[in-house]
Amino acid sequence: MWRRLHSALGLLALVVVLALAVSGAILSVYPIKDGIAAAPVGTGQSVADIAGPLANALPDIESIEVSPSGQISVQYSDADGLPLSGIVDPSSGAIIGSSPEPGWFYAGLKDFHRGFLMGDNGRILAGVGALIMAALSLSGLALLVSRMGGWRRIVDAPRGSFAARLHTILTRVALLPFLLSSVTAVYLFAVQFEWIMVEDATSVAYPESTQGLPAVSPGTLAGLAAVPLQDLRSLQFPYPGDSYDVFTLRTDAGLTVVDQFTGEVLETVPATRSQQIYAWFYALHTGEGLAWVGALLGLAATLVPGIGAAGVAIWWQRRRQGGHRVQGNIAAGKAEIVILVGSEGGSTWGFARSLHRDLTAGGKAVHLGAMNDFSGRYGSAEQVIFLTSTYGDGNAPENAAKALSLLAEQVEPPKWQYAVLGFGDRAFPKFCQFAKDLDLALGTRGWTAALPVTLINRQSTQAFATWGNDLGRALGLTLSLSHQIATPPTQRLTLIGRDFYGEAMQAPTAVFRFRLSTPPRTGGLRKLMRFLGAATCYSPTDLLGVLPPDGTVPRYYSIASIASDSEVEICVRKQAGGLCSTYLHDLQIGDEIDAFGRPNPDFSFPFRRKPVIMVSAGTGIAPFAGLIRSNRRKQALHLFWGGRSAESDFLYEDALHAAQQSGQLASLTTAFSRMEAGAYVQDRVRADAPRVSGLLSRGAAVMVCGGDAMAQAVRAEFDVILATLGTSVDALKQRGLYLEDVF
Amino acid sequence: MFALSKTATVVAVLGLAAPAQARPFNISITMDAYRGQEAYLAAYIVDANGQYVSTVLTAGTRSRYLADLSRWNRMFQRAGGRVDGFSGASIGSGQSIRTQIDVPDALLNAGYTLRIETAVEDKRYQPDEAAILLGDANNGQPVAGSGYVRTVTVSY
Repeated sequence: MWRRLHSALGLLALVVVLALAVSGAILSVYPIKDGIAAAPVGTGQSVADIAGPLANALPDIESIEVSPSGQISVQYSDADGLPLSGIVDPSSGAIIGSSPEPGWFYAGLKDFHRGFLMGDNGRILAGVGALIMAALSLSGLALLVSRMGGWRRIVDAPRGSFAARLHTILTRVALLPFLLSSVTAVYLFAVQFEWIMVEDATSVAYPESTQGLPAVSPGTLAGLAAVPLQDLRSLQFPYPGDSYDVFTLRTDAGLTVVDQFTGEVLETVPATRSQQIYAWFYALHTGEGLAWVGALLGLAATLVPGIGAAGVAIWWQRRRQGGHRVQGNIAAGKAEIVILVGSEGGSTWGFARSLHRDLTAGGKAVHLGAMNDFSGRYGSAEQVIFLTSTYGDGNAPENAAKALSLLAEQVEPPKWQYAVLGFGDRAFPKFCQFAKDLDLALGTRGWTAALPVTLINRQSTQAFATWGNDLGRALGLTLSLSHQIATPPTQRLTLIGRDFYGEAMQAPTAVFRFRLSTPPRTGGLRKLMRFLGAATCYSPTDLLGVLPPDGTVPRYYSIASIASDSEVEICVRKQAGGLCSTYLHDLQIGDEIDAFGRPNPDFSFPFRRKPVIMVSAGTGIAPFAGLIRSNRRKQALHLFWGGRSAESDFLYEDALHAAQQSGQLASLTTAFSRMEAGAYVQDRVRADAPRVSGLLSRGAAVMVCGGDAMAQAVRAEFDVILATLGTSVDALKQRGLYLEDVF
Repeated sequence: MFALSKTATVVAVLGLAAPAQARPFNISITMDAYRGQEAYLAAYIVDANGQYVSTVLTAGTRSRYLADLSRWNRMFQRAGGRVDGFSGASIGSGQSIRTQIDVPDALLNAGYTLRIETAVEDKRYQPDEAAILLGDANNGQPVAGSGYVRTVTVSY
């Protein structure tokens, strides 16, 4: 619900909000500039101290005005009756410069910001823009909380694609300023159109000054001497020669009318409550008199283009993935079967859609939704089926983050049965952990299982079909589930080079170089397309999905080449009985394969300048080889790598030494397990603990790529080192500073 | 010169007893091509001593800003006038405005003056925009304004 509202509003108002933000950001500079230019007002001074000298010097004085930033100006006419303005030095009361009207740029920009130079219609448009901005901020906050899995986790490292992370990071910074800007703008708009009334102190009686007395200098008038200069907003002088006229003095507290001869206060009109509120909202929105608030709002507004672009990119990526729209989806309250999905990357949605399609074909009324949307209000449901993957170390995937707490709100055991189908990879120790936890939680709450929890390894379509048979039996219908795993459009890659390693160690490993049939687009357009998720990614840390000869489930390999190449390089170790690795190892130069690029957002290079510690073993070096090659900024990269033997399988040996020479690699630490005094990479980390600790205390990030056993051993070593620094791997992970790509 | 003509209604009746002899006055104000927002304008009559007699015209769509015409506002309010709920026609750069009022003959050639003030946001307030002595000498003669008004013409 929030997401739909958020993206609809965002797309609808993109241009308007962008225009408001950019013009607002520029306008916020003016109060800062004025604040710096204004001379400070002494605390002991009164209005009379400045009114006296000015009136003596300027016979045709009209008024003294104090801008919100504290600059004092005087309006008067010269001997020829020409109206003039001057800037006043508060300490002496002397005119120290002329006070020009605001320039055409400022005036035009302000008019643009308020109403796009289109009068009242434009003002309505801007007001609607502000209203949408407020709604976007609020719905964005709701999305952020649900995406991060609760208020307390709102500052954790964000997940997802580059665009999604950028959107989250920038929004977290700018959300409060956006709310402040937009809510105050809506208020000012409502006042402008008199939907909110500000009761001005316009109804003033303006009594006459006492007649028949000699003229006196305003410097001697008690009514002016009683008001401190720093409280003054404006002082209007009696019109020259009009003996009935009076001094009109305005402060934040209200308006005072002073007799021009006796100095007596003739009338006091206190500022109304609504006037004070208006003054506050006005100051908060414009930063006039509150320059630091203005600066904050202005800085936040400069982030709007980035946030908007990232938001559009997210919307576009979701659209490309087909979103989560389901054909013939039945409303949750009317469905006989409710399917709820927990998915991080989106592949579980594919299985869920197939299930939905086949159950619907079997004559059932089926609802498909995300687990975070669990409501318990399934009036017609007979079965509720959960399909879920697991994120990271046994955690809930993104759209199931709230599921367990939502289930906990369900007090009574429901009348419907449930089934849990977990998706995962047996290579991980916490294989399908979230599915198991979910099943356990439901069982303890007294839910009745229609089927025991079933776990599916590596998206096996056969296992999915088998489970479908069981489900069909439980439901009393024949269900033959077929699921075709959707692969993105592939392209042909030609093998142009291969280097074999490790044959002596019975661990044949090869570096394969392929030429792309359509070289990636270059330049800004390509970057934009990549950002939008519309261009294929062949950058280091991205993955190359290779379709094996049977064309079914793609296998993913880390890309070791740099983004601008028209070539792709991967490292593959030949697995005994491995379909895809054997296929690749048997390729001859000139052979072609079908493959596609896929971003690997949870293992993307942290965008910061601090050191990065890279730990890998075997073919896990691939993403790091690419990152080191593209490290033209010479960021401090420290590589720990483990192989079997320096003679046999030292992948990228020459390239790594060359990178050390050029400074693209700060340090290289190797471990070889099959050599004399053999050691594993985690042993090197332990032996190097003081240096590693030093890097970590300077804010280094850690990236680990390799097999699961190695990743666990490395994690243990880092936990020991981090404990001495008073932190842990988990804490670093939460901040996105400990990244793992495990296979 | 592009000029938009508007007819404004009389916003205040002259504060005098029903005159035996009166004649219709046409007041026409044309604005300069100044750069800025719509103007706020008050046209009012003062006597030979500069004492306020009556307001004949205000322009500007939002009444709260009329108070920025401070010289007129003080006189107007002292005489018991209230700007709340006032709304005049909008008048911007290059536009003109016209009104017709009944003026007693007693005010002609007797030192009464039609005075005009103008204010534009972020620009210098013009308390002495124009002053026209009501009398035969000025009948039909365009008088130049000193600020945002190009000409004011009074004819009868």
